[in-house]
Amino acid sequence: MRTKFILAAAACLLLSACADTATGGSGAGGESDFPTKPITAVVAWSAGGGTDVMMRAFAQTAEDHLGRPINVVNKPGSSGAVGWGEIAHATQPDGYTLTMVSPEIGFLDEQGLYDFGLDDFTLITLLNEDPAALAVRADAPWDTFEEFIADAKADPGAISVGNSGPGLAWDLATTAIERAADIELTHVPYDGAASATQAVLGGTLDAMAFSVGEVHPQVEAGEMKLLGVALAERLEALPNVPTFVEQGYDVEIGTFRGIAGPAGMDPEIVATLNDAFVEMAEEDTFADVMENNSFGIRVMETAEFQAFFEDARDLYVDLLRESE
Amino acid sequence: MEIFSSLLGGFGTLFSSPHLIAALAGAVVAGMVVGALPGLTATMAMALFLPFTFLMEPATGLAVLMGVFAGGIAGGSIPAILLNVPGTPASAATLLDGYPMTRKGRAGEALSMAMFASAVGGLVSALLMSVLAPVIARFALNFQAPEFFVLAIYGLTIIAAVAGKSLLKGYIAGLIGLVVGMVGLDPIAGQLRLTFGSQALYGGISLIPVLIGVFGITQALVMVRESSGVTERPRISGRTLVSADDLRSSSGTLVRGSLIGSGIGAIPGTGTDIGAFLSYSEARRRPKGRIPFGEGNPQGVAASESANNAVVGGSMIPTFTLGIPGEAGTAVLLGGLLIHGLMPGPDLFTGSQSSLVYTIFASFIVANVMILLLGTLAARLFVHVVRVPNQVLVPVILLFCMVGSYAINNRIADVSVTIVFGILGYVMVTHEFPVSPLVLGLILGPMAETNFRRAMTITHGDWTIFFTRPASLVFWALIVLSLVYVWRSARRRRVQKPAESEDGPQAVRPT
Repeated sequence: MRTKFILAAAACLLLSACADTATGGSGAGGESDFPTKPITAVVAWSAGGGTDVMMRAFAQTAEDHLGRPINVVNKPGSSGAVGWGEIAHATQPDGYTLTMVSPEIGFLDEQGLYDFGLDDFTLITLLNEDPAALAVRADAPWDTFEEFIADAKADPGAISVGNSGPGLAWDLATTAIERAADIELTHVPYDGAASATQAVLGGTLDAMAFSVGEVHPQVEAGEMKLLGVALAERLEALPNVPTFVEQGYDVEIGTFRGIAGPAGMDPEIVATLNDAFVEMAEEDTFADVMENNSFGIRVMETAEFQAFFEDARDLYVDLLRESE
Repeated sequence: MEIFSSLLGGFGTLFSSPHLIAALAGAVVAGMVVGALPGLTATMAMALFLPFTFLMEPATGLAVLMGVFAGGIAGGSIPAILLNVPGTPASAATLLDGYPMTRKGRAGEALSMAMFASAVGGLVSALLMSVLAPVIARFALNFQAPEFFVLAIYGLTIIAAVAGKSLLKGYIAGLIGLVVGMVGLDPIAGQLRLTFGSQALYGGISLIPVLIGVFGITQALVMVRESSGVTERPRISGRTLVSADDLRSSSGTLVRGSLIGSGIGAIPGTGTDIGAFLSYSEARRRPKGRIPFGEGNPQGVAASESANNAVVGGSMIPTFTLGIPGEAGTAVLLGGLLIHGLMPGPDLFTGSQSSLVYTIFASFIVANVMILLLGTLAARLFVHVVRVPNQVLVPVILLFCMVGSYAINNRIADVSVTIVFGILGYVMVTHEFPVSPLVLGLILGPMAETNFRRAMTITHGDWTIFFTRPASLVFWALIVLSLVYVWRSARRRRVQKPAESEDGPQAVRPT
C-alpha cells in the first residue's frame, strides 16, 4: 500500500510540475531586460509529431541564446484549434508564451474550423519550409510528370492521390497540381503520411502529395520515386528530382513552420526574440535534428515572414474556394 | 543462422554495459507505473521519455523507449485486475476475467498470470520480429482500405463475446459506441457531424477519456453504491502465484494470443486494444476449465495480456522495415529512431547500423524477461490494494481518472467527456448493459467508416473490391464463422436456462 502511495505522490508531483509550466505569465518587468523568466512554447499537436520534434529542437537550442529556459507544452486537439485558439484568444502578448505556427492558421477559419486567423498572431521568425512532392511507387508506369499528366488526361479522375485530410494543406497541394496541369485527380484523404505511404506501397493508391520530408525515407530506400517538387529551385538533398516549375507547371506550394506569439506584441520584444532565433538557427544542434528528420531549414526575419505568410494564405484560400 | 549471431551480438552489447541494463530496468519499472495509472498510457509514457532519450547514446535511448513501451502495456493490467479499471486501452479486455478473479480472492494469481502472459507475448513477438520481419512486413502491405474495413466488421462481431447476459443489450451498447465515433469532423468529406456547434467536439470524442469514464468513474460509482449496502469485501487467498495447472491449461491460449497479437501488430493502423479483444474472443470460443469466461477464468487474462504485449513486438515490424508505425506507441519510437539517425527500411537490418538494431531487439527481449521478474515481484505488493477500504479507494480512483483524462491533452473538455461517460456507464451498468461493446464500437466504427469510404473513393463506387482480394475473403469467412457461433450459442442458451454460477448472482460492475 505504501508503495502505491509513494508512486501516486510521485506521479502527482510529476504532473503538477508539467502543469506549472502551462500557466503563462503576465506582468513582465521592464521591456529592456526581456526575458526575465522562463518562456512557454505551446505545441498545438501531440508529442512525437513533426511540429513537436521541431519545437523541442528549437527550444533546446534557443534557450542558450535567450538565457532563459523554454518549456514545451503540448496542447493538441481539433486539428490545432485547441492550442492555437488559446494563443489567439487567451494569452498575454508579453513574449512569454509562444507557439509554432504553420499555414493552417491562415486558411482553416475559411472553413469554420478555427475561430481565429493569421491576424490573431504576431509572427516572429520563419524556421522551416518543406515543399510538396508528388510521390509514386518505384514501379509505377510514370517516370516523369509529363507521362503522369498524359494518363490523367486520357482518363480523368482515374488516378488517385492521397492527402492528409479534406481541405488541409496536402489536399490543396493536389488541387494546385490539378489546376496547373489542367487535369482531374481523385483526392483520397488518409490519417497522415504513414497511412498514405502504406497505401501507395501496397498498390491501392496511385500517388501521394505530401511534404518532401515525409516521403524522403521511402525514396532513399528505393521504394518510391518523385515526379516533381513544388519549389522554385531543385532541392539540395534531391538534385535529381525536377521541380514542377522547370517542367513548365507553376506549382509552388508546401508547408512551413515558424515561431509566433499572440497579436499585439511589443516590437522591441519581437526584435529581441527574432535576433535570438536567427542566431539559433545557425547552430549545429538545431541543424542536425532538422536534417535527421528531413526538415528543410528556411530562415526569414519578422517582416519578410509576414509578407511570405500573407502570400501563402492568399494562395491557399484561393485553392480552397476553387475546390469547393 | 546469421540473424541469431547478430542477435547474440546484440545481447553481448547489452550485457557488457551495466548502465544499459540499469537504464532498461528503470524504464520497465517507469513504464509499468505510468501504464498502471488510468489515463496515462504507454504511448504517453514514451512521449514523456522521448526528449530525455535525445540526450542519451542511441542504444541506451532506444532501449529505454522499448522498456517503457513494453512495461507500460504490461502495467496497464494491474488496475484492470485489482480495480476493474484498465490502466491503458490495451487492458480493457483483461478486466473481463481479471477482476472476477480478484473478487474471488485470486488477485495474486491473476496478476502473475498477466505478467507471465505479457512476457510470453512479448518474447514470441520479439522472435518473430527478429527472424521474419522483412517477410511479414511485405505481407502486411496487402492490408489496405478494403481489408481494414472487413477487419473492423469482424472486430464488431466480438461484441457478442463481451456482451454478457443479453446479446441485444450488447448490440445496443455497441451502437452507442458507433454513434460516439461519428462525432466531429468527418474524415473523408471534412463535414462536421453531431457537434451541436461546440468547438470542443470538432476533433471528435477520443477513446481514452471515454474509456476512463465508462470503466474508472463508473467503477468508482458502483463502489460507492456497494459500500452503502452489505457486500463482502474480496479476500486474498494464500496463493500469490498462478498454479502450474492453470499455466499448463493456458498454454494453447498463450500461443494463440501471442500469434494473434503479433499479426495484428504487424498491420499498421491497428493497436494493442484490438489485438487483446480479438484474442479474448478467440479464447472464449474454446472454453476450457471449470470457470466460465467472464466469471474469473485465468484463460481470459492470459488471452488478453499475451496478445497486447505481442502487438508491441509485432508493431515494430513495419516500423523498422518500412518506416510505417504499426501503432501509436511505435509512432513515438519511430521519432526516436529518426532522431538518432536510423533510417527505417530493409537496409536497417544489413547496413552499418544493424548492430544497433539487434541491440534494440535484444533489449526488447530482456525487457520482457524483466516484466516477468519485476512484475511478479511487484504483484505481491500491489495485491494489498484490494484490502484498502472503499472510502479511501474511491476518491483515489476518481482523482486519478480526472488527472489522467486531463493529462492526455491538457484539455479540460476531456475531463468533461470522462465525467459524462462515467455517468452514462453507471446508468448502463445498473441496467445490466455491458460497456465493452461501447468501447469496441468507438474503436472500430471510425476504422470501418473511413476505410469503407476510402476504398469507395478509389474505386469510384465499385463495392466488389471488398470481395475480390484474398485477405478480405479470409476475414469474410471469419465473420461468417463468428456469426454462426453466436447464433448457435444463443440458441443453446435459450434451450437450457442459464444456471446461476456457484457464487450467486454476479456483482454489478462495468464489463
